Amino acid sequence: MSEEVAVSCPCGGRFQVPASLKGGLANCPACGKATPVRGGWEPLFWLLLSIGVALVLGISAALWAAAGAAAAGIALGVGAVVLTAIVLAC
Amino acid sequence: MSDPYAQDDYLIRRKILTIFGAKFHVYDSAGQVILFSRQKAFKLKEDIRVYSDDTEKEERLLIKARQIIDFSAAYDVIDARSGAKIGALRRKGFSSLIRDSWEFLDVSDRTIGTILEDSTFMALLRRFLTNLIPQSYHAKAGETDVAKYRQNFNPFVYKLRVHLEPGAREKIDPQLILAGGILLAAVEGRQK
Repeated sequence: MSEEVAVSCPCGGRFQVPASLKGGLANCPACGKATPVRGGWEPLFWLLLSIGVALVLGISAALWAAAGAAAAGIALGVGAVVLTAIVLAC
Repeated sequence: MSDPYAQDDYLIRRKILTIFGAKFHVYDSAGQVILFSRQKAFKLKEDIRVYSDDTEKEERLLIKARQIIDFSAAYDVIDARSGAKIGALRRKGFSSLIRDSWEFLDVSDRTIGTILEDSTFMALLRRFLTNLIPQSYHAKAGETDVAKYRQNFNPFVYKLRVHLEPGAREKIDPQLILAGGILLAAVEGRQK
């Protein structure tokens, strides 16, 4: 038996869909509209993001040692803005 | 306004000089713009909107990826007027390493058709020798041909011709077939 996921539609309808639809959309049997299906977590994306965070911290630490706190602060700030924008774009 | 999905032949042309998010014009056989498509920029999950024209006032289709990073990416296709999902397309990751391969899916994720690059030999030539060789694809529902997608040879402007075979509409929703063309232009065309 294939795995199924429960979906709640804003119209109040509740139904089950195949797990392959996680992160996608399914038509609500009650109102007929496409309803978001809660997505599974994406290990590859979070792994890459973690690597990005580690890189930003590493580069900031290296800049701190080489060029001082100001340079490290700028690198950390730029890195934080970029990573935040990536997460918000999801 | 006439039904844009009643055509048998379309031309999808990527707009040049676009900075954020690819844009495509869809022309009918008379050269009239019948649809306009835009990839939303700064979205990690692919989000493509199809409008009646380039004023972007009337949305016709939504094409949305299910995952951020997915080797076998699936894209849901939604009719913007009714708000209902009409199906999906899924790229077969491993198969596409050699020869681009996609599936048409119905609303319950059952496979109802396939899109396959023309031949393994040509696909390998494109991957290892030159990507200037135009791509072409066959879409089938079971053993029945439903559509052909053919890229025009033009190293500067990406153009993809879509032809629906007789009887295609009874097998696969024409909106799904056209969404397949737009995805081929957006995803496969991005590799050029």
